[in-house]
Parts: sequence; structure tokens; C-alpha cells
Amino acid sequence: MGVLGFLLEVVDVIHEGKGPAAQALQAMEANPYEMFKTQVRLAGQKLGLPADLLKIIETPERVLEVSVPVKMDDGRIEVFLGYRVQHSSARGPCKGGIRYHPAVTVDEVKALAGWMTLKCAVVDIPFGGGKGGIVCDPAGLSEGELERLTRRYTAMILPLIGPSRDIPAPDVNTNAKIMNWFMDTATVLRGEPMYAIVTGKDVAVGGARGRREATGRGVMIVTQEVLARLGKDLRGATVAVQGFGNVGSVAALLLHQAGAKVVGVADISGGLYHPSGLNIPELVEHVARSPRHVIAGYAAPGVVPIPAEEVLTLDVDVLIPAALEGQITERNAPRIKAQVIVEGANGPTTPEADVILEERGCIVVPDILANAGGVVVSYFEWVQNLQYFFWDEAETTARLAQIMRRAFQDVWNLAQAEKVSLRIAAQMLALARVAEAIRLRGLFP
Amino acid sequence: MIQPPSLLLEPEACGLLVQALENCGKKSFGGVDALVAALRAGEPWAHSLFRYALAQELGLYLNRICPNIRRVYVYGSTMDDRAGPSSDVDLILWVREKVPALESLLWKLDALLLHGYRMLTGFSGPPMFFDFHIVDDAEVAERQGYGAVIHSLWTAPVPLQLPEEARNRERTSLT
Repeated sequence: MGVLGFLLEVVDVIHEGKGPAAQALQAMEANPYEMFKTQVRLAGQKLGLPADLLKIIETPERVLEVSVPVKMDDGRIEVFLGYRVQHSSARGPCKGGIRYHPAVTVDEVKALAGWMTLKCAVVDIPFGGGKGGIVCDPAGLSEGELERLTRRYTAMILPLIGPSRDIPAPDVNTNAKIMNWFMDTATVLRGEPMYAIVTGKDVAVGGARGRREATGRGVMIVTQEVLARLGKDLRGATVAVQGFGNVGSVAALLLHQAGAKVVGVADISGGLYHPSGLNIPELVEHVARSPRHVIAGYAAPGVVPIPAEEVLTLDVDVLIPAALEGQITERNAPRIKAQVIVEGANGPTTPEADVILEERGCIVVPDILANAGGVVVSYFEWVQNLQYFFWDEAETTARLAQIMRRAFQDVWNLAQAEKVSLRIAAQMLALARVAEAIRLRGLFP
Repeated sequence: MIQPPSLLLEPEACGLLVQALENCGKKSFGGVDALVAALRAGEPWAHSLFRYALAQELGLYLNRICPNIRRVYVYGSTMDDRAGPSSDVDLILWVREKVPALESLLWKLDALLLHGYRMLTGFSGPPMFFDFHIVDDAEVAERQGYGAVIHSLWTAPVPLQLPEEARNRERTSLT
């Protein structure tokens, strides 16, 4: 069965609900961990990996559930539920964020930890995957309550984490401030500096320079790489970017500086189009000045406002969806004209749309590779913290480019060799690397 | 679909503001005066907490008067304490079906709340205080537009707490 048939079968079972794979895939909406296991199984079968090895990879190494009692401002004690999942340490210490959200579930955390294992493996950094979460409504907490919650949660999971074991990071509703508290708590309890126990901190307490731009920079680098493989020059290539936040605006600016013509951009406030290319530095400045940090209100000669959704279907060489997931669907995929799609956001293309794009010969650089710049710079932060030796931004940029280029080359080569899409190649490559590490280490005892 | 509120919206909006100030002030600032002072000083933490408290009151109010609403979610700068005096509040309203009357009500309420916010803080604020994204059942089921965000693993907007009767209604309607 060809790749297209494989993908069609996946989509078919989602719709029709036939067979065991169908049941697992239908569960994905309700249960992301089922989706993760299905992905591992399907990619593993393509690699010809034995079922018992896949079983090891599907299953997290450790799942820790903790109760986190916190004294609230009104004197009550509230007990929160927290998790830390270490999916795999086969390739190195576990790495992954901590989220604060009322709907956190253990299966969601298990799935996200598994995806971190694959993401770190694709870019070949020496980390496994982990994830954590606390079931809470962070905005309903005062700053004091949030700090006490963070510090107690840190203390509860501290026996399992550490610079050589498991390194958390920010995720949904957590930020540098929370990571600073995390590091400080670990430092106090262990009695020694613990900068490397967590990444995503402020620069003054061991954070990495260039972290904010890292994901967008990674997107630009893989765009450059994919165009080069197609024999096209980035100079003069036309680009459309959906989303103008940390990822989209940085990618657009760097592509503009490299000579690409960014002809269309969109964010929540609308879209802008200029057939000869927008003045991206000016637009970035406008967004920084605008009270809501949006592109609305920007005007320049030749710039035409367009509905935000139209940016996806502009006649361009490269489309960069860098906003939200689920934006490229079976409805708009047939109208997408870009030959190359670089997924700056997580999951911007639905599985149904993926099939349509492949049929039409579009090359999709998958999210697991395209937006991995962030985790690569987290790796740099950890390395610098371990060495107490801090790099300047130029060094971060150069090393990021080196890792992203090598990762792209590896995925591209596998896709060519196996005649599969870059998405499937990335999953296969990641899985093969994890499987190889498990095989080489052997099974204890 | 919506029970008629519109002629008397001004006191309603005023009530929401007052309630949000009281709840937020009492909870995190030791009183309303300290909260107002922090808001006027442009403290991001105060602006995030106050915006969340106001979103909470708005969500409760909308749930009371509009059974068409399933859930109200908040995300963005309000949730990660990046909000400043000019920040809006990103809200997603998941409704059974879209009706023009709801949009009209939201516009009017927003204008009144923004006016109140300006009077209270002295800041001109954003052009609209709440950035509403209304999604219906079909958009959520098909993961279209902001319907894709509701169950997003990556963005994960926070559902505002509902009063008990609304939670019961939600449980009944979803089963």
C-alpha cells in the first residue's frame, strides 16, 4: 500500500469507524493518548519494528500523580491534583513543559510527553520526552496562591526531576516567572544552584538569549532548506504567513531580510496583501506600537486589506500557517496554491486536508520539525546552565541553524528513500532513533 | 433565544464592573481601592486579574440570560499576566447556534464596559474591551476556525466557571 493509501485508510477509518485502528483514531478527540499510541503503531509498522518494542515506546516510563495542598489567601487549604509524566529517557533526560489548566488529564499529559520524545528525536537533541500539569484555573488564583502552588508542586515532583533526569519548561498558562519560582524552589531544597533543572527562565536567572525568536527562526531555516531542495532561491520567492505573533512575525521578518517577498499576512484582526511584498519591518513596528498588537490599522501604498482566511489561498510559493491548529481543512485545502507549506503552528493541517495536499503534490514541512526551534534553544539553555557559560545571541543563532539544517536533511533523505511525505518521514525518523537507543541500551535486568 | 435585557443594559454593565472589582479586589489586593490603584499604575498582574474577573462576571451573566450559550472560554494575555492597560480580553463563546441578537448584545455590553473601564482607570483602553469569537456546535465538531481552539491541546483556552444550574444544564444537554 502506498503512502497515499495509508493516509486514506487512516482518514477513512476516522470517518467510517471500521476496524481496530478506527476505534483508536475515533478516540483521539476524546483521548489524545490513544492518538499518540496509534501514530506510534502505524509508523512502527512501516518501519518494521517488532510489536514488543513498540509497546515499550507507546507506554510512558513513569507517571507520577501528586496532590498539592495550598493555603489559599482566605485561610482555606485547597488540594490540587498534579502530574508529571516521563515518557522516555532512552535518548537522554526527559524534557517537556508544565501546564496549568482546569481540563488537564493524565492521558493528555501522557500523549504530550510522548510527542516530546518524538520532537526531540527528530532534531536529534539528547533528550527524551516528558510533560507535567496541574489541574487548576491559574487566572482564578492570586499571585501568592500561584507561587505557593508552583513551589509545592515543585517540591512534590522534585524526587523525580533534575538536570540529568527530567527538565520541565513553560507550557499552557505557565511562563518565565513560574519557571523562576520552580528553579528557586529546587535550589533551596537541594541546597545548591539548580539553574539547569528547568528552562524558559528569565535571562537574568539563566534563561537563553534568543529564545523568543527561536521558533520563528527555525521556521525560516527549514523554509530556506526546502526551497533549496526544490531548486528554488529564497530570494524573490513569494510567501504568505498566517499568524503574526512570536512565530509568524519573526519568520516573516527573517524571510523578508533574506530576500523573500512576504506578500500576505493575517492575524486575528484581518489580512493584508501586497503583490510586490509587504514592508515587514514596518509592519512589525506597527504591531509593536498598536495597542492590541495586531496588524489592523496598518496602511501603506499598494497594501490591500483582505479577509484573514484568504491568506491561506493566496498564489504564493510558500505558505506558513503559524497561528492555530486545524486551520487547513478539507474545505480550503483544494484551493491552496502554495507548493510548499511550512507548519509553524502545532497541528495546523487536519488529516483530511493532509491527504488532499499530498494528492495535489504540495510539500508539507510538518510541525514536529518546522517548529522545533523552541525546544532546540531550550536544549541550549540547559547546556549553558550546566556549564555556567553563557553564549551571545549570535552563537545561539548559528548553532540553531546547524541543528535545524541537519534535522531537515535527515528527514528529507528518509522521505526520498522511502518515498513518503515529510510528515511520515519525520515520524519514522523519530521513532527509529528512539527504537535504536532502546535496542542499543538493552533491557534491564 | 435571548431573554430581553437590552433596554436596561447600562445598570447590568455597571453591576458586572462593580462585582468584578469587588471579587478581584477582595481576592488579590486586600480591597477595591488597592486594585484600582494598581490598575491606574498599569500593573500587568492587576490588569490580567481584573480582566479575568470581569470575563468571569460576563460569562455568568450571559449564561443566566442566554441558554443558547454552552460555554465561555478565555485565553491570551489575560491568562498569562501579559495584559496591560490597552489589552483586550480574548473570549470564545461556544453557542448551540449563532443568532444575530447575541452579537448585538455583546457589542452593546462591550461598549458600556469599555466606557466604565475608561472612567475607572483613566486609560483609553483597547478599541473593544472583549474580543469575542462566537463558534457554534458545527464549527466545534468540525474544528473550524476558533472551533478548533476549544479542544486544542496546544492553545487550551480556559473555560470560565459556571453557576451550578448552568453546569446541570450543560450536563443534561451534552448527554
